[in-house]
This record gives sequence, structure tokens and C-alpha cells, in this order.
Amino acid sequence: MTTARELLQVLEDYKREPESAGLKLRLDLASIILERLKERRWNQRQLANLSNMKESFVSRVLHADANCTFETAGKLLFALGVDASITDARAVDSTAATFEITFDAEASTTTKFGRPNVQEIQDKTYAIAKEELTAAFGTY
Amino acid sequence: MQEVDRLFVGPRFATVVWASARARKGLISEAQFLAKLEYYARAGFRTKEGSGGPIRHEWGGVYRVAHRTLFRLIGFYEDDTKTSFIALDAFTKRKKKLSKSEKDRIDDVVEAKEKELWRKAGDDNSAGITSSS
Repeated sequence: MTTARELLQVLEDYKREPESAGLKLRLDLASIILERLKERRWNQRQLANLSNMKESFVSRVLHADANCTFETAGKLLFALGVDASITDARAVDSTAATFEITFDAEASTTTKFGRPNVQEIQDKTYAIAKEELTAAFGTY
Repeated sequence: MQEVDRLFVGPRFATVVWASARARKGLISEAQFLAKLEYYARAGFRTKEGSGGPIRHEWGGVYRVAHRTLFRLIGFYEDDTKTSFIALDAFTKRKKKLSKSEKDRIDDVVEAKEKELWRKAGDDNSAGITSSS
């Protein structure tokens, strides 16, 4: 009979595999997308249509099963009005051979028909950059 | 009466997960899914429900947690807070649509829920990831 302890050992062994890092990124992406879908009260079909993708593929992304490219992830987030960027990469171990990457996503508002408000994303990005440069250098 | 053992427990988990022997048997060869399950448990299963989400209500208060196209973990929440999930079965569907035997397995879990045909294993002989993990 399989015990819980044996299952946890299987899990711990998996976490030592490089593949597990990719899964973590896919799960984080899926979380952001699912959260934004709920906020907008969209379903996956609407997101697929707006992103010009197949619904089956969007479903796989939401289940963290699809190994999508940065381009594809960007398109999905763009359709949801999300301004995402990689904000942190730190070494997981002393060899610096493995890095943990953190995504930071801010959601912008969308227009009446669900399209991302590009101007607002650009304005917000500029405002954040201006603030950070001013804080760092006293000017920008 | 099925006995469930704790799998993911502790304050770092928004949803604690318990699994029966039958569920654990189905999980042993699904390392990637176990990693997903831990992730979902930390975030809270409730946050993974909804359109397109991996956790979905089937019928009779029983939910499925999906992995890839065909693998399913089957269980139910202990109460309305959705902070504790009781997993009683796990299997890989043969096709996209549930077969009769697969529907029967879900019905069995519905019955176990309704008639409370399950119990938690004692604290002194249970494994599981705790808050120190």
C-alpha cells in the first residue's frame, strides 16, 4: 500500500529535477491568468478568442500543462490587460547554476469591450520608471 | 470505511489535503501532479476553481483536480470553508469523455461523502508535509 510518506518522497525527488523549475513558472503564469479571468468574469473561450489562440491550448496553459513561449504568455497577459515583467532572479544554490525567477504582474483596467487599455499600460509603466529613476538617481 | 492520511498540512497550506489508499495508489506515478497539488494546496483550492481552472465540481458535492488531459484526482471538501480536501480516488481516464466505470467511481465518492464512509487516520501514525517544510 502506498503511504503518504512515499508520495512525499516522490515529490521531494521531483523537486530536485530541473523540470520542476519550469513547472513552477507555468503554475505562476496560470495563477495570474486565472485570477484575472475571474476579475473580468471572462471564460477561457473569451480569452482564447481575444488572444487568437485555440481554446484547448488556453485550457492547457490554465492547467500548467502547456510549455508556452514568452511570446505566447505575453499575448495572453496583454489580452487580459496585465503588465508583467520578470523582476527578480536569485541563485538557488552556491554554484549559481540554478535561478529562481519572480514574475510581478500589475493589472490595468480594460475598455468596455474587454480590450486592454494600451495607453494606460504605457502611462503606468512610464510613471513607475520615472519614480524609480528619481529615487535611484535624483533625476530621470 | 476508507481511512485518509494527511498529505499536505500546516498553516502554509490554505487547503489541507487528505488522501485515501486508493487515491495514493493513483498518485504514486504522478510526480508532476503532486507538485501541482502542493502548489494548489498552498494557494487554496478555492482559488483554482472557476472557468478554465484545474479544480471543478463534478456532481453531488464531489470535485475533480485535473492534470494533463486525462488524469483526475477525485474528492470533496470537508466543509463549506474549503480549507480541507478529502481525496478518495485518482485515475487516468481512457478517453476525453468519462466512461460508465469512471462515472461509477465518482458516484462511489459521492456516496462516501453523503454517508460519511471515511475517517481520518490518527495523529500518531500519519505522515504529511507540515508547516516546517
